[in-house]
Amino acid sequence: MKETLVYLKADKHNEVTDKTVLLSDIAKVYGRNTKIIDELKNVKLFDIQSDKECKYMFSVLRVIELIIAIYPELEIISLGETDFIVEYKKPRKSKVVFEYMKTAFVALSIFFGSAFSIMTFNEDVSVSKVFDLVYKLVMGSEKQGGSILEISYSIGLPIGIIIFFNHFSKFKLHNDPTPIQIQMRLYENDVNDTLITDANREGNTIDCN
Amino acid sequence: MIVIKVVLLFIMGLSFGVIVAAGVFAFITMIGIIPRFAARTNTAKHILVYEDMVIYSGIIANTINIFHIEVSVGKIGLIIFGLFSGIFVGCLAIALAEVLQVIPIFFMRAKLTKGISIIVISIALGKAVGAFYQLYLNAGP
Repeated sequence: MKETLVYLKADKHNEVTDKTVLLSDIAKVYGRNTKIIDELKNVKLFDIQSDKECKYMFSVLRVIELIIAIYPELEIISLGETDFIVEYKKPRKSKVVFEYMKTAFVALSIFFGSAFSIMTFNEDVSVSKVFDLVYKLVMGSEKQGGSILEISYSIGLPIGIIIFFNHFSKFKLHNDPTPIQIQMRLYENDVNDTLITDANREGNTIDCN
Repeated sequence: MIVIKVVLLFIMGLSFGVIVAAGVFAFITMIGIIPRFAARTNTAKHILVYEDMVIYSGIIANTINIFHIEVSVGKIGLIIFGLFSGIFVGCLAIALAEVLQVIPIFFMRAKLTKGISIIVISIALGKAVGAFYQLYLNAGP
């Protein structure tokens, strides 16, 4: 491996709180010459002008251009993302109370919303009528009031929920991420991809929007 | 003989529950409103709390619904239930339209490039007026 070879791995989404964005903020750098690597990590990519929180779309080509301008002899190989996002967040104290209020609000929406969904499902497909039918089919007589069917349905439903979500409160069945964690990740990826594609299309990569 | 029948009923009810749970809650999860709620409010780290809410609510609401348990919560409870389930259903309805890509296709066909916010507000107002007419004015005596 040559001394002048440098590998660069940029992350797709990078949060910075400092207005001076360094190479080490957005990418991992590896090469044989540790002295150059240490210098490279402190190469300034750009200064954030805006005082507001904003997102910058950045192309790895620009990064390579900046590095080559300082170290013309280097050969750079990018292994990471070709376009990535630098998000500037103001260094501030997190408002814990406000965050808990928001969480409580969302939690309530989801709680009553899911309650509404399962109830509309039960009514929509006439679960009670189906129970009457099944009861008559199996027992040969009309169902009077509540029966074993309602009880077992109400046991089966929680089992199904726990199997599907793979956890119950702190107790986890497997170490896999839960379905909603996966959905969250997918959603974040979609948002980042859209931002990058839009910025490329409108030609304002690197610019603030 | 009666024992076999009861056991059969029990097994059937159990499997009904398991499969219905998988279907209904897979729907709620896959439609992607919960990640959106979390992203909008910047509370993604509490995502497990939200998941717990789905779990508890599914179990509690189903039990209340199936056994026709009376829960006396008064007017305030009704308002809370109505407001929050309304928020959820509103998101659900739009999420459904979005999964089917109704809005982007409509925009492309009509060659619209601006005024997305007006369209979104119109959708919201339309749904509000429609729901109010259908559920309140048209509710009958």
